[in-house]
Amino acid sequence: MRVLTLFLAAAIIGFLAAPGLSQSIYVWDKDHNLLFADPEGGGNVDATYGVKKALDELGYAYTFGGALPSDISGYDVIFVIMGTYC
Amino acid sequence: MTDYALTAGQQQQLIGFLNDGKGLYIGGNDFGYYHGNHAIYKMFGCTYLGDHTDFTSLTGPNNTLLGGSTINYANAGYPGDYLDWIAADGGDMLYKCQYNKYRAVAYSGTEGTYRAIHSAFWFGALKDAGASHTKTEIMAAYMRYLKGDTLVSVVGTEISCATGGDAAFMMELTPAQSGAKYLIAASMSGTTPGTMINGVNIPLSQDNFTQFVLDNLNTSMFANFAGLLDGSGRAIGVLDTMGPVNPVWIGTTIHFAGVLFDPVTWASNATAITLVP
Repeated sequence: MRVLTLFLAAAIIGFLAAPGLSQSIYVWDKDHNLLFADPEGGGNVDATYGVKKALDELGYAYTFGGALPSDISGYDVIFVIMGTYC
Repeated sequence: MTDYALTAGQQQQLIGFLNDGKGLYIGGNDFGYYHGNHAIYKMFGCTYLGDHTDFTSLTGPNNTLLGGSTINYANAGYPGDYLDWIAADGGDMLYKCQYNKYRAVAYSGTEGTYRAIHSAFWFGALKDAGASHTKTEIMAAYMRYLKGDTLVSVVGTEISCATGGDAAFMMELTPAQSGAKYLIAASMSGTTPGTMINGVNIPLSQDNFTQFVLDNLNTSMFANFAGLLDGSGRAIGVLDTMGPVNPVWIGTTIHFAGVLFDPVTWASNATAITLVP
């Protein structure tokens, strides 16, 4: 019985580990391209840069776009990056 | 309202997203200024108090997901303009500046059915240098919260007392936690008030079963209940009753929670297994 349980658990984890499936994330670039000096030396960047960089370093796959999709039901987490003046 | 603010339709879409039990992060210096009286703002468990701009350091209050975290802020240019100052309205305040004004909040709603974070400063303008936690570590904490469940029962939520059985629990964190020491703890006494250790609330009320599990970690009955998270920040623990269970326990619910320890720094949600006939 335990062998079956471990097999099923491993199979589920294998499924969840597939890129884009374990966490479906959308990053909405709504910062209207205001730039600032990245404190880590990345040059002039917008408000989404740091968020995307951190997600990249953590190994998360995500979809990035400049508009809120009409259907967001497939996402588990959404980042709305508004910057300043909105 | 500027052209940059969320439209009524976008707000309704995002409110619906939260009401579907999802995770939403909104970062923006003026989110409160432009949306403070809108329904979307109420979903974040805070109120907008005004603008106060010249802060340069942030601290996470104790007993929050960023408790004890300190980090500096690059308050220049656009990231320093018109920064909202907020107060709690049901939410857990995540960061306050050196003027004791709160700048970020996490909220799961009155029923705990969704997860929302609002930051009134630019995430990217946080400065890793001299920080107790880097931006990547802060994002890992945000993601743990926004994703919700980090310990799940992957094969069944019931065990028959007549036949006995087993159950597998998956801890799923992030690659940043790979190699961290973990254990899976348990309780037959429910999840509230839980157990506070080192400022972390573990959602298990400590009882004799808690101690029984701790005394038998990584035995045949509680295989892989302690160890190091793998390279993806994951682990699987397997409970095996080793045969039939005394029917006196029929109807009992056992809660399990994952803990990162040595010292305790984090606890997962609780997930339940019920003993049935």
